[in-house]
Amino acid sequence: MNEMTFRTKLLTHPQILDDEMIEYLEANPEKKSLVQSAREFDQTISEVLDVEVPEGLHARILLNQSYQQNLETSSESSEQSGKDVMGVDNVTVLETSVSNDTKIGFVNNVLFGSWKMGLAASVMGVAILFGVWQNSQHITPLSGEATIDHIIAHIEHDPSLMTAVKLPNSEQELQQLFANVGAQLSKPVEGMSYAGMCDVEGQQGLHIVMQENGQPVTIIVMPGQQVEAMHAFQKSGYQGEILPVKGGVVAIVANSMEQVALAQIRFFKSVKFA
Amino acid sequence: MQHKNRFFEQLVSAYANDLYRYAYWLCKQPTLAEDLVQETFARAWKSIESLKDEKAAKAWLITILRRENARLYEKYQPQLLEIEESLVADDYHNEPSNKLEKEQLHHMILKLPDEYKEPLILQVMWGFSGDEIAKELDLKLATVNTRLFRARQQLKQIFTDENAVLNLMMEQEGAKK
Repeated sequence: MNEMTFRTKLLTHPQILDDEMIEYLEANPEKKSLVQSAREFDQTISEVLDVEVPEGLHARILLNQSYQQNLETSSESSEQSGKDVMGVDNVTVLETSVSNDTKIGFVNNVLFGSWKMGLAASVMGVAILFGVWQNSQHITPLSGEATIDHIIAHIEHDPSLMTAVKLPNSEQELQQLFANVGAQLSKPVEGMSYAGMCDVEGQQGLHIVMQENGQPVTIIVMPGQQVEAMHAFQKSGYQGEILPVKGGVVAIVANSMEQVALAQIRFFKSVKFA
Repeated sequence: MQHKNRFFEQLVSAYANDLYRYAYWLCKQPTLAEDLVQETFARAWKSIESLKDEKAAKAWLITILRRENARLYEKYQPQLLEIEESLVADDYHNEPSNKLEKEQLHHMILKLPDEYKEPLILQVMWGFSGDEIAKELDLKLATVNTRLFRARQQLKQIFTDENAVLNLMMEQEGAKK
């Protein structure tokens, strides 16, 4: 083996040294530095390839899958009962659509048109989280069921927030709101109609209402709380999810999983947690 | 159904991040990359029962993603290198050299032709052997080896040239002060 062949093999597979290469290195020990250099360069390539993954990606994939599953179930049950809930053409559209937003919006329109439910789903205020999480000055593991129960119990507490259009007066104030809970707003959250701080057991949380196809969805960011994994729920006619982010927890509640998913996608496209 | 759900969650947990990265380097746009990953898993869910061998899941998912990318590319012809400029530091004075080097390398990998980039990603990020890459990309092993070699050769070449320019700029700037 000559040097050119050795270098070629090294650049092709820097991590693999075959017998011929080992033999060449034994005869030319000064070339060992080439191996080290090639592997270091590969390590740098590996680090560069390892780009940051968007926050909440896994949760959004699982959500997408969950409403695919719902669709399958709906489709099967409609076929069984002889009632045409979606129509064959609509199913085809869903399966061939590339855009998740389109898919979600479409499902939302077809399957979940209840305006009243949407209104009710967004009524979550400051008091929602009172008594749910104790010792909030440090990381507190949340009990999913208790949290959900408490949210549901307070759902009709303050109906004004879901229709209110109340946002900070300046971008700076808006940024500050998100900064208060360890988040950064890279661009405006699409459809956001309300944003304000709420008091969670003496610790500040962020309360957002977004309008999805004219129906409000509520998002509450709770810094200093903790859940191990995303927890989707369905209770008392409401659907939602609680998911972990860096340094806290985000809860999203709406009247359908499709609204939740769409709100989640929009939220995490704009908001990053440090 | 429960087993199916659990298996799907395992697939997401194990491969979603690297699939996103693969998609990112292919389509060069973070938003589009996420759409591709979403669509990949949506299709995977629909045909998950056809996956008999769990060990084949990795290659299976990449195949789906590559098909989706090709489909998407045919439809939309995305604007290439839309994000590259923002990834390169505006002012090299404020950047640690190591970080700047990586940003340059990032920029160069984005510019690398897909025929070189894909084998490199499959090898470096996914740990595929030459034979596995050949199978995935439907190429001969010799072709894969040539492309791996050329990919690194190009990166090294450009990287060295770019660094030489950068060093020259920094030296000139230093001389002014």
